[in-house]
Amino acid sequence: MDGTIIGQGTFVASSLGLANPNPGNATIGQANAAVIVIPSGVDWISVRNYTKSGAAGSSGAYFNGTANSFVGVEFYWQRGMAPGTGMVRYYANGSQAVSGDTFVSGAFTLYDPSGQDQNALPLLGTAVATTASTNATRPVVSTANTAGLAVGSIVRLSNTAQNDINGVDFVVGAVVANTSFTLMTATNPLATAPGAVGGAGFYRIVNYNPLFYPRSRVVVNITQAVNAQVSTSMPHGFTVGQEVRFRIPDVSGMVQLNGTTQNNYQPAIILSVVDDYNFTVNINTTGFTAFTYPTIAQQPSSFPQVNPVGEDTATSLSSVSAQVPTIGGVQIYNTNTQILADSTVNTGFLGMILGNGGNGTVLTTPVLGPSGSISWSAGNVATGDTMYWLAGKSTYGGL
Amino acid sequence: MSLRQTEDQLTRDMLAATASFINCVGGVDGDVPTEITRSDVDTVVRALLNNNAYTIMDNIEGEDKFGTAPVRDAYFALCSTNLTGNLDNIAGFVQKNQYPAPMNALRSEWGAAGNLRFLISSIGSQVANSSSLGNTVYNIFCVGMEAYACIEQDGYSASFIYRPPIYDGPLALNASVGYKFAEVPRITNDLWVINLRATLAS
Repeated sequence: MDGTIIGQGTFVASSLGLANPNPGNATIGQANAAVIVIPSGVDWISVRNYTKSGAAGSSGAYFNGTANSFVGVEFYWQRGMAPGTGMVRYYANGSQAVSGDTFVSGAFTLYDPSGQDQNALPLLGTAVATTASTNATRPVVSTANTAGLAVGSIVRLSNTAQNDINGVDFVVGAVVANTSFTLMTATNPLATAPGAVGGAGFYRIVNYNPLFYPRSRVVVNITQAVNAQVSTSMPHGFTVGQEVRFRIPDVSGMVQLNGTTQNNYQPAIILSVVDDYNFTVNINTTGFTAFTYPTIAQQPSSFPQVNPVGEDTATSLSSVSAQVPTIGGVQIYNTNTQILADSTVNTGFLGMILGNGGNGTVLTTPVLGPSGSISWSAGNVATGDTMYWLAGKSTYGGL
Repeated sequence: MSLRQTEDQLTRDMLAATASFINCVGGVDGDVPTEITRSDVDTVVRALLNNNAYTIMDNIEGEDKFGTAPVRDAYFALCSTNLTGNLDNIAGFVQKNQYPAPMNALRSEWGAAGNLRFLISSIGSQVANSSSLGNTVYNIFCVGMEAYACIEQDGYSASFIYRPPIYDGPLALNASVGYKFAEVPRITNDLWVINLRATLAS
């Protein structure tokens, strides 16, 4: 039927990983972007900020470190509006007088990992020119355009002189607005620098993970230790007890990790998850050849990788509470937990990304977006807004 | 788009996400990975043999016919139709019309090289802008017998759904058609499937 409501729900604005932007003072700040699942696709969505609807407006909310933002209380998007945009109503400073605007960015973006919806976030962003990249274990890539990049974004480089970096998906560890970004975080640098600086090239933002979990990952470093620590180029999502195998090319040194008849195709058991990019395994690599990441001079080559193969039940049962596949502290959608955490699942869904705000068409300052806001106490304790949403589908009209 | 094609696509996406890979390195297109060559075929076949993967197809014995060549027992290599030109250029490649007994070739088969028989599909796996030079990377899933499986879930048999116009709107102007199914594609033995990644020769 026309205008059918296909879903509704509520969530609390997320402050995971965020800090008070004005430490030691009561402050309002932006929340993390939120993703909500809406089966069957969505033609329109309305989001309301339940918490801030009952409070006077503020023009001093923090957005990207600056106290110059309003807090939106009502948001609306309909199919046909450009990705990232939407309409917003917000209260004037110190009152509940309603003003309105249209987001330029940071509002609503359709989520569809099939890549078949032209209105959704594309699988891969457009190519953005880079001018240089450093010869370091955490290459710094220079670019005049960092739009859409943030710490934790996944990027894929191409056409630079660093052909050992090109084509591999890497996490972004730092961003200097419209100047540069750094590949990898402090905890997962490359074992080996590329060997030369990279010239001009391109980067693209990778917007979706592969559809299925668990996923193969490119390995960037492995320590020589009793329980070797493995670093991956992007979040691995593995849990304690999962079994993995390695495929290490000759150019990466530590080929003793590869499965052969001599070592009974040794699967490695994950003993601990250090962080999103590191985990330890039950293989003693102290006597193995040192691991190196392939360099420019060694191209073309294959890349070192770790592949999920199953689970060691005994290890899993000893650490059942740790068996939640997560990235950034959030459980990967649709994954199982505990001793079934290794099971193969389709993580895809149709939904909407609720942005954390951006500039309006009229305002030259930002409005916090449909993912809500965070109220910080003087003691730096975070309280997220309670948000309600309503989404529907239309039979007639539209795009 | 059809239900069966969606099943194939999901299985393809599972293999792309989870299987281990080997980059083609024997080519001369200057990219990483390179275009597929005979040395890359030999590398992946050797890896599957070392992992004790069973071949899927029996050999086709040679016969006294002009222009034919015997075909080895083989693993399947599942790939995109875009690769056909590059497959033809592999040293020792045998087109399926050169098989001594072409009736043993599958409809989707393109030919054989070494111990690989290549099956092509318009929805073969590919990853855009994923090579060093920003070109599309083609995933060639080289699989042994029982390397992966698709398990249909009890109680969720595939169904085709049709809602006639009278149920779909007050003026009975539109009908709805769709399908749903539940299945779990997964690798049964990771040692028996390897993703050979290649670009197209320039």
